[in-house]
Amino acid sequence: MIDRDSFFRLFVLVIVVGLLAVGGVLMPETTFIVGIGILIIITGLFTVLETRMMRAVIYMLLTIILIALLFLAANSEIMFALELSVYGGGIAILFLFSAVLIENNDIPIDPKYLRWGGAIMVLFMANLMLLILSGVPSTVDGAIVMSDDGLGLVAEFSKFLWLKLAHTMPFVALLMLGSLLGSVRLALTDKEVLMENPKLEVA
Amino acid sequence: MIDLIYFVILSSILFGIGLLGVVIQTNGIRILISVEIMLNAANINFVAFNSYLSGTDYSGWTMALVVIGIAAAEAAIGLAIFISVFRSFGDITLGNLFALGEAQEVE
Repeated sequence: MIDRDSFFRLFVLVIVVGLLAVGGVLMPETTFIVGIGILIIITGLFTVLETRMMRAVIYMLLTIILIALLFLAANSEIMFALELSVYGGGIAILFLFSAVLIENNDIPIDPKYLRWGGAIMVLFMANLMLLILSGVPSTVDGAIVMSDDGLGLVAEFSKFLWLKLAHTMPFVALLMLGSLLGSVRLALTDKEVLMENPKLEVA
Repeated sequence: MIDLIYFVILSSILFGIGLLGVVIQTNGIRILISVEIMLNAANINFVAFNSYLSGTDYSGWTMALVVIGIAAAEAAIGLAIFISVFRSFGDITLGNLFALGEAQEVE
């Protein structure tokens, strides 16, 4: 019986050596993408269900690396580089250092939350699958094949998003400004200052 | 190349996994990790649609880049908040944080 530590090391080794070094060269493209997709789902599940914080962050890092590979397989080299550098090199490391600072290592998951979370996830996935499978257009040799009544639901929604792209930029910028101001407010307020000056307490 | 629907299904499953993490986790940082997974699922959609639907238009990549930028900012700010809270109260379990707030008001 393999214990958790050995399983973790073996899993990382299989992904790093087996898939990255060998699979990308020897496998056909379809098999490679499907394999990466299955591994993304597995590592994503491990990230969410792992009780130890550091292991969860490492699994998240693995998920990010696999998603970057998926971008590479989808002919998006720039996104592959950005995903690895920003997400893997920045955000994941941020989480790693935070996990070190927090020092809460083994946090068990409440079975009650797991039941409710699982039920919500199943309902959500069932709804989403219904939308997707009824709306996504099929492709033939890389070209979109339109159905008789036009493009599918998901393609229409994606066209709507991209055509209105210019309207989302100022809104996003405002959100980020709000979050930055809020973080400065929180950073300036210390617990001792709050206790000395109750008037500074946020309502 | 592989059919587009595989990317969409993968993205939706990953989004559901992130949603599961947000619901079942009580630790603040674990919830942020789950949110990052959800954002990555959205990125997969953007990149896949850009590869399939647009030849020279890179709108999908641009939107994915915006999402990455927002995720980085949100992760930095959220983690700073939680570390600050941990230094003040010694705990970042969300249920306990609300109880601590109520306890302070009573005092």
